[in-house]
Amino acid sequence: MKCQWQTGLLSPEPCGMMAMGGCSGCGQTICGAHTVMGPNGPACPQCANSQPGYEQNEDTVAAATRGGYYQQYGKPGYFSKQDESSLNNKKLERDDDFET
Amino acid sequence: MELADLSRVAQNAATAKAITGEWDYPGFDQLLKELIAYDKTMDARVGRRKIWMLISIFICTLAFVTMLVLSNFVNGAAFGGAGFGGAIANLIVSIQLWRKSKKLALPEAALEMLHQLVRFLHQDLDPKAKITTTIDLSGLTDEKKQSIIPMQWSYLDPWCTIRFKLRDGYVVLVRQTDSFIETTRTRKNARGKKKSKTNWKKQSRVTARIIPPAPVKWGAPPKVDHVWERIKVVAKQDLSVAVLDRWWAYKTPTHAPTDAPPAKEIVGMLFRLCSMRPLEAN
Repeated sequence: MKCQWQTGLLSPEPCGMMAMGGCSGCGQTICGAHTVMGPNGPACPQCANSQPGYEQNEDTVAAATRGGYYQQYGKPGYFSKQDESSLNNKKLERDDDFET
Repeated sequence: MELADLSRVAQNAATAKAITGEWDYPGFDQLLKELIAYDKTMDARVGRRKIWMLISIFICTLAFVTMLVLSNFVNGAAFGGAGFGGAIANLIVSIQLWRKSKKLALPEAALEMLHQLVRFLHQDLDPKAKITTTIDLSGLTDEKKQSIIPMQWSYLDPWCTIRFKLRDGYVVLVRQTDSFIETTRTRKNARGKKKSKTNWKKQSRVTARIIPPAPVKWGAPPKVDHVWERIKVVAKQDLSVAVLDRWWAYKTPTHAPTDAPPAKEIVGMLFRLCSMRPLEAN
């Protein structure tokens, strides 16, 4: 099993390292580098960012940033279903106003 | 951190007030860290020297008053004059040192913005490609100054061009141009005394563009703020390039605004542009 955590912001790609276990929040498999320990057990950076009691590191901050952008600007299209679930955003908006 | 403590590359950048060249991410990150640390030292020094300059002005005034008082006594004028002369010399030296350290300082907001931008995006960078930069940190110089009308000047400062390749092959180009307008108004008050007032306005324009590795059909455009943003697809040779422009406006009295567009907003621009990429790019 490989780590399913999506790294990056503009061109997200799965981490691809060997997974050490699963996230207690969303269930996706995560490697040691992307595991954050906390009161509810091991979590991926996205879940660790949204739950209290988890320490914050570079990955959790990046996850929060990415989630913020996705909620503010995201729309269906470029990002895959896996990205969307990873980004934890259910309500996607679409705006077709286009100024050339 | 003093100039001598910096690496050779950072010393060159700090002296030339320019970051031009091709970098890998760790090298560029380290360079920006060093320049930010150096700038903090310089800012602290400018602050200390400013305080010393103000103290020197106070000493000068005190010496002048003392000289006037002592001039009534025998040999008092000579002692007072010597003290006042010393105070003046001290003031001149403190002003020169303050000006010198002010010239060495770098634009802190610009460095912080660049540092945050590359830190946000470092996981997206193609590890084999370099970050190409043409960054001018010299700020508002006389070469950039142009007179518009009497008592009004403009500065055009296209200070930043940064280009990097994403790991999916798309090339990102971010360009920032700052334009300033300095306006001085002079009027006479009721006593006939001239009073002048200076206002500064700054407009920052950031142009972000993504260049595909091969001709693509762009997806639906993202949300834009129709007041401050403009999105378009332009043809460049045989490729079509997605471009998002955004403007920021700042206004301050007496001195040029030092605020800069936040890195998060620029990442937001890139994020929206990247969401126009066709699905097969993912």
